[in-house]
Amino acid sequence: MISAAGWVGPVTQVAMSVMALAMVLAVVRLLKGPSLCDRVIAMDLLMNLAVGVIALYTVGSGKTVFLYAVIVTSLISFLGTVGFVYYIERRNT
Amino acid sequence: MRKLSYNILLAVIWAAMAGSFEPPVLVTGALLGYAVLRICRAPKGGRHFRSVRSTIAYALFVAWELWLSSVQVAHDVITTAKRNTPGVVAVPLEPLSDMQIFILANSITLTPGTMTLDVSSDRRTLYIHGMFVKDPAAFRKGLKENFERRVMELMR
Amino acid sequence: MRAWLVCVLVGGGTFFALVAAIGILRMPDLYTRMHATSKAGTLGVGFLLAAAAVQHGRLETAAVAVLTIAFIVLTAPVAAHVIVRAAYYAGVPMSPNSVADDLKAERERRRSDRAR
Repeated sequence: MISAAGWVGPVTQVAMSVMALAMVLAVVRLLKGPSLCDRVIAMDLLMNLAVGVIALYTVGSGKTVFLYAVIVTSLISFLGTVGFVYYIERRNT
Repeated sequence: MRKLSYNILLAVIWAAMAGSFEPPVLVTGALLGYAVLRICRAPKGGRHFRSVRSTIAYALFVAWELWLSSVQVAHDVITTAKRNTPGVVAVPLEPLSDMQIFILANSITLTPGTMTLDVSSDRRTLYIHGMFVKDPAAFRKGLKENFERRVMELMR
Repeated sequence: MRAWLVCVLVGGGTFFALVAAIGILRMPDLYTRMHATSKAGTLGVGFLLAAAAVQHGRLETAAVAVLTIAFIVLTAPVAAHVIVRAAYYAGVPMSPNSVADDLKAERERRRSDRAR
């Protein structure tokens, strides 16, 4: 069986660059979005991608203490999204 | 009985977050779970989950639908043909409890091509935004048969 | 053996995250953009967290990763629904090749309530 243990490092590095590209695309939508809700969606996606980047870093470096940051980030992103939408609804009524 | 199982679930979640499953941590989780359950109201309605087996089967069904929907999104994003015909469809509902409507709306959002838009104030109609709505009546019937039947089987 | 699984999970997760980001740029209107990000983004992040759990292999890490995945799968559809509902009642237009619109009456009613 071909040993794959040496492949995890390069695969993680390539994956990090691809995630960075995905975050740049989300920021393009954040700047371009014609309405406010487009920007809220882009922000939600950006935080989810940040969660993915932290998980990827955990794979690459082996330090698992960052997984506790992951749950806090997803919690705060969800609360932020719901709070922002509450503000949008209040502004329209 | 239901509160005891919720209490055990909260204790296990507390131990998983704390990082160890030793007895002191589990006891702390059980006490905190009891305090939380005392503060929160019990959910309205008498429905509860039928069995652990049907819950796991439903969770696997939702996971499979999530995989299918992501594959469909990937296909739609990569190929350049603009085939999507979006639309909002109203689906009438049987009388369901709040928990069932929540599970139904979550599962619909995770399946290929559908997303929950709104629930009417009398809880009898569900408005769903679909990505490939060729025929609204067939769409409505497909949704009712697949999802509502499964959710009603899940909880008694 | 475990390293192969980690590589597959990392590759799949990154692919779906990239699909979600491309989808948010390419889709014609706000509602289809939300379709793309809520489904593909959730699955991609879930795969990456599963890769972190498999790589380390201990029970505590796997428990935290499974809890985070469950939390994201429960709350991402709720966030998607809340955004789309607020956008619909705020008047964000749907894509031109739309087929049916059953909620239009409610939107007109709310708009006339607001204007009064």
